[in-house]
Amino acid sequence: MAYSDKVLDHYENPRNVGSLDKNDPNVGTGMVGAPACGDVMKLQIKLGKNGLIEDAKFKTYGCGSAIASSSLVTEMLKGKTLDEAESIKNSAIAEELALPPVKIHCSVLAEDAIKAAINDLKSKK
Amino acid sequence: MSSLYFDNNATTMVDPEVIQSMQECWSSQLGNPSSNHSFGRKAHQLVEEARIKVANAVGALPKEVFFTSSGSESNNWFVNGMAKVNPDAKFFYGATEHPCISKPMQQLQNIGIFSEVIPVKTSGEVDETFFKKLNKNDINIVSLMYVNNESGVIHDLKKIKENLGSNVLMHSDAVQALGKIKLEFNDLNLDAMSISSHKVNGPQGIAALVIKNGLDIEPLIYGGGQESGLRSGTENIASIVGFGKACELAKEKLKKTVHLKELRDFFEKNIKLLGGVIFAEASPRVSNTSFFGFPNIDGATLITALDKHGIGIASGSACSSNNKEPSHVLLAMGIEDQQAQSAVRLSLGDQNTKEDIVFLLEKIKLEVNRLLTYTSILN
Amino acid sequence: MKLPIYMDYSATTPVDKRVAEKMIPFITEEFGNPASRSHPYGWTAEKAVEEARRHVADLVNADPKEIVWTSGATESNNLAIKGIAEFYSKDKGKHIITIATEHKAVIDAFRELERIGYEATYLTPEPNGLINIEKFKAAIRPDTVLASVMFVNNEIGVIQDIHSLGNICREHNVIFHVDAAQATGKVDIDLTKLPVDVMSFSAHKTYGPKGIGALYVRRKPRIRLQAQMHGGGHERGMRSGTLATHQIVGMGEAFKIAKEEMHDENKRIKKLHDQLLKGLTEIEEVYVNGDLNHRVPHNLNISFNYVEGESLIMAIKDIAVSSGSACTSASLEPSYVLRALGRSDELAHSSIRFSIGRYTTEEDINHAIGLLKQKIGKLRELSPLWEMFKDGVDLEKVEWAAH
Repeated sequence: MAYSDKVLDHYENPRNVGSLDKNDPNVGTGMVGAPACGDVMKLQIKLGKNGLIEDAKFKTYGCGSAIASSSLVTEMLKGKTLDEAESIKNSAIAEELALPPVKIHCSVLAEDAIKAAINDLKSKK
Repeated sequence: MSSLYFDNNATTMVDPEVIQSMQECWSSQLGNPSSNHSFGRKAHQLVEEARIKVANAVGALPKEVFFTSSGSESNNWFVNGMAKVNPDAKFFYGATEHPCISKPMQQLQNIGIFSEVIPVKTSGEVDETFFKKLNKNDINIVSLMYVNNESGVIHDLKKIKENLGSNVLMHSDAVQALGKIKLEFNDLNLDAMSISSHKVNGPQGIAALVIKNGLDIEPLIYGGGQESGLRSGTENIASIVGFGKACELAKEKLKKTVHLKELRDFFEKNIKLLGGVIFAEASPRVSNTSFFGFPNIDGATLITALDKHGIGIASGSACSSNNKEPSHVLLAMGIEDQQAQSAVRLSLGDQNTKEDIVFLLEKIKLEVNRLLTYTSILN
Repeated sequence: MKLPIYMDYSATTPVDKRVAEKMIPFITEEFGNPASRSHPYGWTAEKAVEEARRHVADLVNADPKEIVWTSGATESNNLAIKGIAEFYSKDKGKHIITIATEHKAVIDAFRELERIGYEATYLTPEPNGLINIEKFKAAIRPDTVLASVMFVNNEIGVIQDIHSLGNICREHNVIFHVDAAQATGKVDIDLTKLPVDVMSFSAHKTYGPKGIGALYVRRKPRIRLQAQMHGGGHERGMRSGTLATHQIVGMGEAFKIAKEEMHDENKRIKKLHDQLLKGLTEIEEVYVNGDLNHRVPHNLNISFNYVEGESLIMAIKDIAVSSGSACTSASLEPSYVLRALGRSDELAHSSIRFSIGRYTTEEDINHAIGLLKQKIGKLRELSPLWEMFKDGVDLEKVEWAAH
């Protein structure tokens, strides 16, 4: 399968790899997927005092497209409000990375990860 | 280039450009086209490029071209694969079809599926009045060869299909048509069509079944799911590439048919002067083929005699040259046994020259006269 | 060292130069339809075809008359399975047995027979990939007509005990087919001793060309099968269709070379295998798939836990490997072979098949080990599962949000 240059770039130089303190009240953690399905994404966001997302980190077990999708998402999230973040659609991710049809589910997973992280954050408030 | 090979309907010489394209495949490291790494992707790309070339040569879409191992496989697949999907269908096939259509058609009867022979006229063309008995409420599946391998007779497929209407599913064994006459799958409005590489200066062991987009057919060979799941088995890359190249060159070959016709007509004129008979002479025929015979001279005997002069010519279909039966094509056309026994097939290729034909005629004359002396002694 | 390094010999092998050289004359001067008996062009081709048949027969100690040419192992498997079932089921019955880890060509031929009224048993192998002989015996019924077992598994390289399985088939009057596509040139095959009735071969897994294979059909006792392709009556009526002389010659040459060189070659490959195994098992949390003793050294299938296979293949693009069978690499499903061994889904998703061969060097192996060590480390840094494992979380107990 031929990957787009953007997927390869994010895959080879993933942005914002790592973890935030999941117990921090301003950190929301979303973990989606399952090892049995071949991909697990952990996405964490940290909300700043100004109500904007000031940091985002990820770790992903999955194929190149899954890693690239989550890496891209961490970049997209920074500086956004929670409402703006929640409105990120998988199609935008798929389009940006030019994902082939069999890999669209990776972008869906990334969208799910955003929602899960936001829900986690909201549940702490 | 001079050649005493006159059996190009059996198999053709592989074009040097085709050989080169194949050699490149063997010397470059190609993976399995199903593999995702660079070796596999390169192989996959070569297969897809070849598919486009084949599709372009026969007026079909690339996704309608499915590679197989031989024309026989393509024909068997069509019959078998359609019967699996339509066990209630009625199958019909021309009386002059190649055994790789007629035998699987006969096999259908063993599993309770209807199949019947369509008779041919003395011209070698199917008798279209037969089609009146087709019941419109049935699923009717018809297979007719485009160009007969022995007589060279051309079926007017477009007209036949138009008369039959779109309710009838139609397949054509077009193995002998590729490179000899214009071949446009979609224009002919066929549902499926078999083509083969080694009849058109490509390598042996590679062929295709062209399947109209959307036609429901089951595979003959199951497994890894190659060829969109319809024909499993690791792709025969070098041969597929060679087939693609041969198809690319086939368009050029069509321009040479005028030259072949001149040679063939020159040959036939002289055969008649020697007392020979041309079968299906007045029928629409491809220009490279002459099916002829001399009364009272056994075709196989004449062939053996010519062989001693280094001449390669055949009595009919190569596949059945192991048996001594007279040509089933001629018998179907209503030719008497004894006359059919005399049949010899000349099939020209691009490499044949007028000098070759002159040499051939000279040796035919020599051997015919010699053999006639024997028969007159015997009588 | 030339990059990328090819380590996917189980998917296909490169054509040996000696094989290619032998083939070329047969698509140039020596052309001719082998079935055209009437002229010398055909005769030369026929002689070459018969010589190649002898080479193939010699590698497996069979009679050349027992070798039928086909377009490849997939066709051989289809012809053997459907051909035997159709021929013998009237007398014997409609039960057929195979192993869940067989190649798709066997599994799908079985599925096709099931669709037309046969009953199939798909035996699950032991976790090491080998069949338990007692379980095999227990699966046989009075109406069992055919059993099909592959000699060497394409994904995990284990060698089945064909001799014992064949004896059981003989005792119970079951026809025994063996898919030996991955075995030729790797293990000794002596069909005068092996109780096998029908055996499938492929050229392109043994340094021959693609698009050609063969089927061994035993003559004593004589095995019959129903042809799947009808026509000119080539190959004693078992398989019709004009055969490619150059391809056949190529397969013959490839098998001749295999016979001459396999013992030395396999010693060399065993060393490379051991070197690779040693290097890779130095990495934490790796699991070798398939029995370590009953295997061909050409294959090493390893699961790198907490790392997803496809991303790993991307990371090590300097070496061409696969995550399993080439035929199924387009699908996102984990290997059905590894699942049949009882491997967890995540281990199945984390597997890489290294398959090495004639042109693999020690340097290639060292490069692969170095690259793997580096990239596994990097991907585990990225892996939330690795993080959880290191934190002592039991992944089995996590409730995953399935999607």
